[in-house]
Amino acid sequence: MRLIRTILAAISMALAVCLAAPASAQIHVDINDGNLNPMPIAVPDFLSANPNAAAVGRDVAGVIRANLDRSGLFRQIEQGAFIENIQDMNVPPRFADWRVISAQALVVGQVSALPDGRVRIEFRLWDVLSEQSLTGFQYATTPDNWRRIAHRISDQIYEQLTGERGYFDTRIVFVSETGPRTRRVKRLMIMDQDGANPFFLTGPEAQVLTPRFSPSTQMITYMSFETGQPRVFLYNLETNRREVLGDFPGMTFAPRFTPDGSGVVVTLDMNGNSEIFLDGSALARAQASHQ
Amino acid sequence: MRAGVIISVIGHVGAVMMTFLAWETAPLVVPMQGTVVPIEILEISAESNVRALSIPEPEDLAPAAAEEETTPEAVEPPAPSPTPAPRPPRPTPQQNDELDLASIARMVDKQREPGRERTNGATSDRNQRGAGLGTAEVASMQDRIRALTQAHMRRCWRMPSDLPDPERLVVTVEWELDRNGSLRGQPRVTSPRNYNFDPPMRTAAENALRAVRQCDPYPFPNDPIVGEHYDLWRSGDFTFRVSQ
Repeated sequence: MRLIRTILAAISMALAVCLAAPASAQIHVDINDGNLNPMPIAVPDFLSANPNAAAVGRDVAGVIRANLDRSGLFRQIEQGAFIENIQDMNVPPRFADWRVISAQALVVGQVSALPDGRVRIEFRLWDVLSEQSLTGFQYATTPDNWRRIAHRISDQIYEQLTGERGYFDTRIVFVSETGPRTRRVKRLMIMDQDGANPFFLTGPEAQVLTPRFSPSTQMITYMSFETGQPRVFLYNLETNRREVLGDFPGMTFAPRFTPDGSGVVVTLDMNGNSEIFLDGSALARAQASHQ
Repeated sequence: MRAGVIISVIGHVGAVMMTFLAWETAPLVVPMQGTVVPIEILEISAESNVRALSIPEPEDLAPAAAEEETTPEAVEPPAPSPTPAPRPPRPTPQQNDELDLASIARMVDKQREPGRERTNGATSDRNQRGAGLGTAEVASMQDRIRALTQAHMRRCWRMPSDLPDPERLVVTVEWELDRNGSLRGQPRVTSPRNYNFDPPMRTAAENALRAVRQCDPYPFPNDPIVGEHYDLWRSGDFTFRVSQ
């Protein structure tokens, strides 16, 4: 009995200590109001050992800066405000110097020429406040592919800091209209998401309408008068080949890919009735023939 | 019957007169000790008085003025005569007021002297005050700390409103502060536990951590009300939640 009483007393004392200590030591604050300001980020020109690589380093950093700026979620810090002149990307930066200019993230990179003529582009993303490296990658590519690498680095930074997938390494397909109103020429064009590298996919004879990208493959579907009749086409960007989707007596138009990209839905006009038509086999055949 | 009434009236009047007599005789006794008793009361109350928190730190002029006042004023009152003479050469009422004010001021100035309790024994002083705070005072100070924090954090926290389902992105960050209001060690996420495999939650957690670090140092030490109550803002946690 006495033992039980002692144990109970000990337990109650321990409980009292456990419950009392945090209550007196901690304050709890709910934060419900913040801001939606763009994050200040610093992207110095990428380092390099030779002049050719230096030009690539400047261009890559410029594209990254423009991408992040255009997203609206980041605010670039002018290079003239930088205090530290980074000389080696493998040495941690002086974070205090970057905190002074209100940078929250810092991108450091370098470009080096490889013996086989390619270039290696590497970068590291630093969290200035926690003084930790968030991510870092390196790519080896041909020198003329630097812009694509800049987009991929932008995607990495964007995804790491916002939690959402980046969209910088994407392209936009659209209809380019030229000529007078009575003799309008409509051609299929494609460009990078920042407007760079535009080029035509079809010639002037094909009047193109309603182009759509596949959600899962490098395929485009569109309507064209190339054969004299309105027809739906499939264009494979990897092989630069196109083919008519189906051969119907009436006209086909308004094509769309299915959400999973496995088929194409078109509108088929026969005998005065417009019917929606799903063609998955033609798409599979087109993909198979192009592989 | 009538005589009884008269006797009663006389008795009542007499009682009232006696009270008057008592009222008049009371001040005759109290002023005799008035030079000593108020000083003792002030000493006791000044040591444990919480209101002293809002008094600014002593200025340079205070000790000098106190010294100037102490010499003439301390000598001026006559030596307390132990004789129970009914009419000692007591000071006039005006003199008595001045004497009391001077002694009160002297006591306050002594409390303000640098190097005395307030600046010397910061730790013991703090403990006394902490023990002296009532529940209501603690609650109001905590409310003030919350208000200060929310105002301070508004510029630092980027809300994850643009992420999918922002209502579920509730993050709690635990922290500790030094006396000067700067972070002690690294803040850490206590809730949710595993957020690395949930990209939006990871971003929300990193936003919260970034906000806590960016807002460093915190304004509590410079606040006139909560500044000296380090115990109240030494550690705590922030729960970041997007308002609906």
